[in-house]
Amino acid sequence: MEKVETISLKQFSDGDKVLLLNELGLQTDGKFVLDEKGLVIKDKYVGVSVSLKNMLIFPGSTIVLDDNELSVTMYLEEYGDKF
Amino acid sequence: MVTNSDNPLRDLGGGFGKGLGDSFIDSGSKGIKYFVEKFRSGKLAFIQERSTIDKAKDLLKSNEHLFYCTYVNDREKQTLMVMGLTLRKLDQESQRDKRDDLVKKIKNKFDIQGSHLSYLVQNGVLSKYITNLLENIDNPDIMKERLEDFLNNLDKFVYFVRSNQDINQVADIIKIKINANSPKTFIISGIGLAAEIVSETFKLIKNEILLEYDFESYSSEKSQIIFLNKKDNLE
Repeated sequence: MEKVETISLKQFSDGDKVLLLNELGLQTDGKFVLDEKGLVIKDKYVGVSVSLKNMLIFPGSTIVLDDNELSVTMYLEEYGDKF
Repeated sequence: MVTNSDNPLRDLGGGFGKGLGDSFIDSGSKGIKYFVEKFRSGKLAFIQERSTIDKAKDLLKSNEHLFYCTYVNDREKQTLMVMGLTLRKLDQESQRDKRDDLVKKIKNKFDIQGSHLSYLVQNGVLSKYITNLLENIDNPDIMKERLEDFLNNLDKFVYFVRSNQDINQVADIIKIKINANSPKTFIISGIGLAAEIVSETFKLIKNEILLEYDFESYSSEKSQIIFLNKKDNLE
């Protein structure tokens, strides 16, 4: 399996994050990440609203998660270790 | 920037190097589209800290987790066990905020029962319990059955003492639980200020309990765990 590289969003300015989300067909209200319909995206594993400050975007149909150990672990369990 | 390799700038667009805090556009990088293209082809993930992923990977592959997985097939319980190991790791790294945030997320997702299972792993109680079973039970099927019963009914087998409880109250609760269920193993556990309550409570009920149970006590700087094993604990 080809390894997935990672890039830290901590190095992105807020403007870059907005550009990135838009390129992915997503949006933000300035605090939270919104889907294409303008609804706040909830982390599929822990159910919390994903913030611009704490978002992770993983491959596999653009999976937007909150940055926490539980979500990351459950992602690895579901999709396998690509990292 | 964090990547898998030693040379992230080489891997993720040579232009991105002017200043880490700069906009990609301002720094003359290949721009957001480059990263999105790479992401869409499944070769890139946008993260916060690489250490979160590495920690999860390491713990999923750890001997302790693999050991648990040989006895526990349930996926949800396996996740909770990894979370217990993660909590322990965060404790060791003194990352209290992260630990407390994770505890909240575990409770929200899995309720208090799930949180208790993570706690048992975090504090080494589950590994001691399994060792206890291994020492007392030869038949693997019976052992697995006992472990499943334990994990599915933690309230029956474990009492988590809270730091604001009264010793007499704790003693009564423990005696009621033991008399009601007559468990082959019963565990009394407390961390922080509750550790002292565990010790004091045990002194109070010891004479009565030890008629039917043997005990093993595990103390650390911040926790007190007492295992009570029924004297006829064999298969």
